[in-house]
Amino acid sequence: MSILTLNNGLLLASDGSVNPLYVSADLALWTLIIFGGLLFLLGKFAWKPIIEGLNAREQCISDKIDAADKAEQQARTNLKQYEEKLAGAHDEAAAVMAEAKADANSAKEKIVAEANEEAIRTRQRALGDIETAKSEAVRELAESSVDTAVGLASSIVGRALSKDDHAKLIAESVERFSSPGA
Amino acid sequence: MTMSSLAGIGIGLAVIGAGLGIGKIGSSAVEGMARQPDAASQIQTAMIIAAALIEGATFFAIIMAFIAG
Amino acid sequence: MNKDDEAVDAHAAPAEAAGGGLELPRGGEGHGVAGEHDGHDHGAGGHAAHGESLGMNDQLQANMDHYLDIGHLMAHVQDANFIETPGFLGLEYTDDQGHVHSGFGIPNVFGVEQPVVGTPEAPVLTLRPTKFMAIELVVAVLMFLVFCWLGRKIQSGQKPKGKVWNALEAMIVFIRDEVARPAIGKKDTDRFLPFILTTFFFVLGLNLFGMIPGFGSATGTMAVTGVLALFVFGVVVGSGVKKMGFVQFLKAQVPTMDLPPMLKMVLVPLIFVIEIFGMLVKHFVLAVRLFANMFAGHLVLAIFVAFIGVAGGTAIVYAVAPIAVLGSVAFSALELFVAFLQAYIFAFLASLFIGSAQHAH
Repeated sequence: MSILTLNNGLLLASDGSVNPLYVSADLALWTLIIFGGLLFLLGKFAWKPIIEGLNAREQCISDKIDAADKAEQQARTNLKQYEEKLAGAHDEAAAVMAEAKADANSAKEKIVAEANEEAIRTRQRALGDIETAKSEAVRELAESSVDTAVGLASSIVGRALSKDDHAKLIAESVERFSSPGA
Repeated sequence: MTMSSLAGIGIGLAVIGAGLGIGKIGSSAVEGMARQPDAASQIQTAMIIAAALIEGATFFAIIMAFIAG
Repeated sequence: MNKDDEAVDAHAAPAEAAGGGLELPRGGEGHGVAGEHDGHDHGAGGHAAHGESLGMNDQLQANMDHYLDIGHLMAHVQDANFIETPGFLGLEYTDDQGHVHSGFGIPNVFGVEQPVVGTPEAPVLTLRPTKFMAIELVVAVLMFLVFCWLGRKIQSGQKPKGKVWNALEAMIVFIRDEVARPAIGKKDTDRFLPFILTTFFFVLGLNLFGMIPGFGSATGTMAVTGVLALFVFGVVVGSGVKKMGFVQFLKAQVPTMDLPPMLKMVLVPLIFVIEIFGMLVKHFVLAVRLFANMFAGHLVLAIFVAFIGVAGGTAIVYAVAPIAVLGSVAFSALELFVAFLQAYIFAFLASLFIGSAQHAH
């Protein structure tokens, strides 16, 4: 008979040769002993350390993750602080710079103003000197020309003029000299 | 028609039913997983439970057919 | 075993270590066509010897009757007193009926010759070691060694190193996080984890051993899966009773309903009976599911290889044999997946049942 023809023999055989559902008492008993013994031995010697070891490792990993989280948090706060500090330093530097610039500006202005003043003063002094020298020269010229004229006149007139005459003549001469320039 | 050939037909019918049922479960589960990949593991669990229940009923039918046949 | 038998063996050996020299099991002899053969010399060679008098169709029919015989196929999938080995290894095993098989006999270490329970014609308990018993023992010893080693490694607190360590740990953590915890709850998981892990790896080990040609899957018998399901049932009931007390546990099986007292009087006992029956069926089906998946898968593999025997002695064997070998390789890959899947589903449903016993309905 082929596999294609199902038959009653499938369940009727008592020795288990062609009955797929046949339960062999020997094999069942043996399985009971083997599996029971395996359960006991493995539970005692293998699964306990394995499960405990895995739990311990898991605990260790989760602890380390927590620690890493904490460290990251710490690093973040530190970074923030440093960034704030850095920003403060930047502002300070800018302020110092601005101050220095302002100082330099004011110093420059002061120097320029002083120099201007000095120049003006020098010019004025020079002008004053020129004026003084001019009037001195005019006076000296007048005096010497009076003297010359007196000398000439004395020699011409032949007589010495009095002191009053000299003064009168000097004043007339100065008048004469200065009037065209006035 | 002998009893054993009837049992054979019975087994065939049981397997057709189970095949359709498990096929439907499989298609729905794959669809569900494609739509919601996050829930894939839960869908798979539910799928296996449902398929196992159908399979159990089928095996029951097949064994009854064996015994009756 | 004659020469022609070995020629067929050579084709079959790579995938399933099947042999033309394997005998028709005792159970097969009582049925129809198989009864016409006289036990020993009805391999492909036997038919080939009649080749001249038979047409190709008759030859195929005769081969089919032999190789696709349910008893013959079952012999490769079921428990036996020997492990099938390829013919070229030269191992021989003589069974109780005096038939010679190509295989490695399991020694009768208990030394019990007569059945302890039952008669020699219908034995119930024989205490004779079989290949599935040997495989279970090997899997148990391997598991014990591997997980003790893993336990020491993990406890040392070192970083996981190496493929074996990482692979095992990945599976353990997967079972814990994806299977046990969602079903049972984080609080209770660690109490049941040893049971679930042992169940998962034991089933996986037996399933994987079944992938080795000649060994067969011990999870493909109701005896093994039935006992495993019985353990699950024991843990479910035991933990539930321990948590709630016996009466409370029975009461918890009935969902709370808002019903008039009269209706409740009738409905509650009815639902109680249904729920208890459902619970038994649930665990029975747990056993059947694993058994049926492994058994059916290996039977299909056996049929794939048997096609070579069917074509044996005719010209089409050269076309059939490569296809059958390729097909059985491809199907073996699927079976490898099923081995993991069924171990996962068994552990998953076991934890689901345990989880549901921890809480009232």
